[in-house]
Amino acid sequence: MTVVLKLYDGSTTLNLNDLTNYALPTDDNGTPLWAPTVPMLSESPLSGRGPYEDTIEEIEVHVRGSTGANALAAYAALATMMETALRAQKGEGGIAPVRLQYRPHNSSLGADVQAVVLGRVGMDQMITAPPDLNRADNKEISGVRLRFWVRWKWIGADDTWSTSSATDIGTPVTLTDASTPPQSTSPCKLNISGFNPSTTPTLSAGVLLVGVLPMAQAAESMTASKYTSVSDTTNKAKSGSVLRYTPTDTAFNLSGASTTYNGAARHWLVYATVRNNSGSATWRIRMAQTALGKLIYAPEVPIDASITTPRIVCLGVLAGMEQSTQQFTIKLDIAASTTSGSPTLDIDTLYILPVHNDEVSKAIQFESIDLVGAFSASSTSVSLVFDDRVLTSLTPAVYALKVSNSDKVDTGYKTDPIIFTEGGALGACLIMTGGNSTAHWLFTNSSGTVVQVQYQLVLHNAYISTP
Amino acid sequence: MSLQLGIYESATGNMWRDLSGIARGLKFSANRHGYLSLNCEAPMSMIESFQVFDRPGLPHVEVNWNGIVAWAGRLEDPAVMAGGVRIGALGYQRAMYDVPYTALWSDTSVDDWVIIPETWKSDARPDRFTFDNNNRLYVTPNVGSTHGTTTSPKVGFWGYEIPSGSARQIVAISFDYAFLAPSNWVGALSTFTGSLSSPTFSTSPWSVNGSGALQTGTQSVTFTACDAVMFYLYFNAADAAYTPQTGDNYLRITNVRVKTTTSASLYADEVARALVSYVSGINSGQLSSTTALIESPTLDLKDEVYEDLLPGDILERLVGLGDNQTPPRRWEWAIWEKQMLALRPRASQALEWFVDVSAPELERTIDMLRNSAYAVYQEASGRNLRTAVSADTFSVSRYAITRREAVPVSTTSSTQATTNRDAFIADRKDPPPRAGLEFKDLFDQFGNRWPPWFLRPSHIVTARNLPATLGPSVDRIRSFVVDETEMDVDRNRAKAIPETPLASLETVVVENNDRRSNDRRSNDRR
Repeated sequence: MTVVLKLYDGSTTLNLNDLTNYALPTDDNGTPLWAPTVPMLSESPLSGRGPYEDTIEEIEVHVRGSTGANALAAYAALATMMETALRAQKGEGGIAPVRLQYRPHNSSLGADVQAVVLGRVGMDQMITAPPDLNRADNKEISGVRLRFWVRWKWIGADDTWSTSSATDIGTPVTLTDASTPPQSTSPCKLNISGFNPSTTPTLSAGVLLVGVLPMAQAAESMTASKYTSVSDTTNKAKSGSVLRYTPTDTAFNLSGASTTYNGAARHWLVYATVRNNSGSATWRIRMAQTALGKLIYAPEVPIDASITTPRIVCLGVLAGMEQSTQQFTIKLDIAASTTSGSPTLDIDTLYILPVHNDEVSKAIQFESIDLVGAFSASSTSVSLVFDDRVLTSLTPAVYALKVSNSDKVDTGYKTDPIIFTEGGALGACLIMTGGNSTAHWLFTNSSGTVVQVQYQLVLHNAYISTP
Repeated sequence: MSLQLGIYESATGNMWRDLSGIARGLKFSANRHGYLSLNCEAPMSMIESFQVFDRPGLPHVEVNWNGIVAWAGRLEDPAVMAGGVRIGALGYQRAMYDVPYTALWSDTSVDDWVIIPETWKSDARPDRFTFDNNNRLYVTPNVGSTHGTTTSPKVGFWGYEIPSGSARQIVAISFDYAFLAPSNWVGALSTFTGSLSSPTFSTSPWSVNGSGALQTGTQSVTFTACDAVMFYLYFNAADAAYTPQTGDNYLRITNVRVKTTTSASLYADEVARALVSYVSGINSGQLSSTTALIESPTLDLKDEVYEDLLPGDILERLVGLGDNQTPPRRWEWAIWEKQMLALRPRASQALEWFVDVSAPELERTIDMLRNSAYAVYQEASGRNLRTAVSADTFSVSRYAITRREAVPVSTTSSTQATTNRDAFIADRKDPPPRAGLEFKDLFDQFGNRWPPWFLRPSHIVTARNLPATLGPSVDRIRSFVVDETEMDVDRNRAKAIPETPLASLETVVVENNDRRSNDRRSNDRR
């Protein structure tokens, strides 16, 4: 019976059951006496560590050598590996996390699965030798104990999904995969291509919606008293027009209703592209959700007068419905700070994301990236990448990637940028404004054309218990 | 599980570190004034720890969920410890305690008017007049004294000036006058720049000439911003002996109100906006200059003079004054997302939540009950006046006791005093319970489960499994307005603390007294 259990730091591999330098204790039948703990869903909502809790692994291993010196060298290698894991956990530069690699006996998987050795448990030693380490014949050091935290149990082989067709920025797409869905919620790397320093010298800050397919609501259909549809094709309004609020007072006034949404979801996350046409008036926007015969207001969101070009605004979260047959609509309730100067507020599109599981459905805000500063102005393909880096780093990353040579420039973000999927399909929508002109509702290239992007997902199959 | 903890160069700056994957023991809290504190530890190498400890500027710390801010503040207390760094951040409400503020806004007191001596103004001759400020500004020439303009005028001045270092100057004054004097006598008002002890004349926006008959009227004048104003009386002709009796002729000013705003009424939102401008002008990275979230209580404030007060303390006073509603509403000030100051009726942004309490701790005491009150305010001379007693009859009947409070109010306006009295009763007529509720999940009215950090101070929490009680919908027992929240991220548990915490309950309380450098008003009449 064989079980694969290794420690790997990116260059050195220690096989804890190679039977030459290391061996797991066995029973009388030769069965290795070790099994990993199964992680449970984490209580903590903090991101960066996946949906499952960190677990403590205790591994007893016999360390061997042809001589006592060789056995001690193998023991020292283990100690060094533990130190490397600790240094990586502390974020020391240039040190990748140590991985625990595992494949059980009779596994149907064709390759090992991996997890990250996170560090020591409290103040406990990560490696402990038996008290008879210095006995006369120490070619076999029995009962060396390893004890450490483990995260990201277990990451298996990658599954690269098909690249989506080219789609305008701001248009939701469904990414699909014909492979068998993963056993459990799996982290992914998402590559969004379609950028180029020569045509898109700066990537505007934006928002990536992922999860259940987001919906784009054309706001200009929500007309009512004081709310009119106004054409704005010049500035690349998504459907050609925007909803304009023209106040006659400073009270809150309701717009017309959105499309009716059917929907079971735990919550509904709503973003909007908004433009304050006044350099002095400020606004308060709140969503009004009509559901089950009630009108419920979300907390108001202020719009300041800092810019008069389109911006992306998170309008907040709405309550979900229990049944898909329960319907709701959204209205916008807006109040102006003043009517002096005839201020107006335009809304182009509402982006509505159903949130069942907030590991899977999320809105990732990212900062702008200067592509020319990073890669020079030459024409070259650049992708915007949301990289989970679960096995290679303690933190994920969002960066622009120069495809030709893999040069990267990182950017900042808000909200967990690790994309998860339960497999089968994943909705995505990249929202960016500006580009060739800050006045553009949708991100444009140097020709003034809305940029088209393609999405490609690389899923890292995850298992809480390896098959 | 998408709560992300990051450190940013500033509130609008780039991300510096994502601590989500390594933070331990993360807890954050909020009170009625916004995000309060955040603490956690993060393992780091010594070099990295000192980079956090010694980083220039004041980094921004934020906990974010899908673009919704769960907590935001500034990294005030980083600490290097064994194995890493301890992050201590405080919310941007702290920005209202960074710099003291001095300004006159409105003053109806005559106590602060002074008689101008000749050493301050060469034409002042106070010895030739009799003055009094007993609920008025009164000046009358003395019998037998010489008055006139020969060589120089001989003038009796009452003067008022802004506090030294005031952020605002006088632009308006309203008053009633009574002037009785023969012809050639003049009663007038002049404005000056500089201090009263060294004034430079600016304008004379009002004057009245004697006619021999009593002249009365009401004036409300505005003028170019100035530092001081003077009412005065003089004889505008060649010198002559004054033979009538002292008091036969006079200038009498009453109901005087000095303002540094041209608004007919001074509302709290105008002060709040000025505080925003003041604080953001000094520390632009700590407070947004946007005033979109400032609403108006529409209650005229007659006596607002601040000397070396922290803006947070000023706001605390303003929200306690209520508004023009009947009964007056409680108000709140807070700084939440985007560092914007909000001034609004308490709980106007409230969401309603339901929790299941497993082990409630509730204690009721009538110690906090006040169902009857009168306000103590002042007349212009400073003498205390008392409003009529008002009571909430339902509360008196329910608790079978009248518990009455004398509410001190710093104003000469009986209207404002009455409003403050009613606001006090509205706040205290039902004794807030001492309680603490810990829970894991929030539920909305549809039964959906929400993350516990969605609960904020001023939201309303109803414990579903406690019995209903008699009384209004927010009966402060089964259902209450949350005053403070604390989130334990590792355990995914939140604690809701109502307006009066249990004595035995561990709460997060920030003592404002620890931060304030001065705690006084210019005219502390109580």
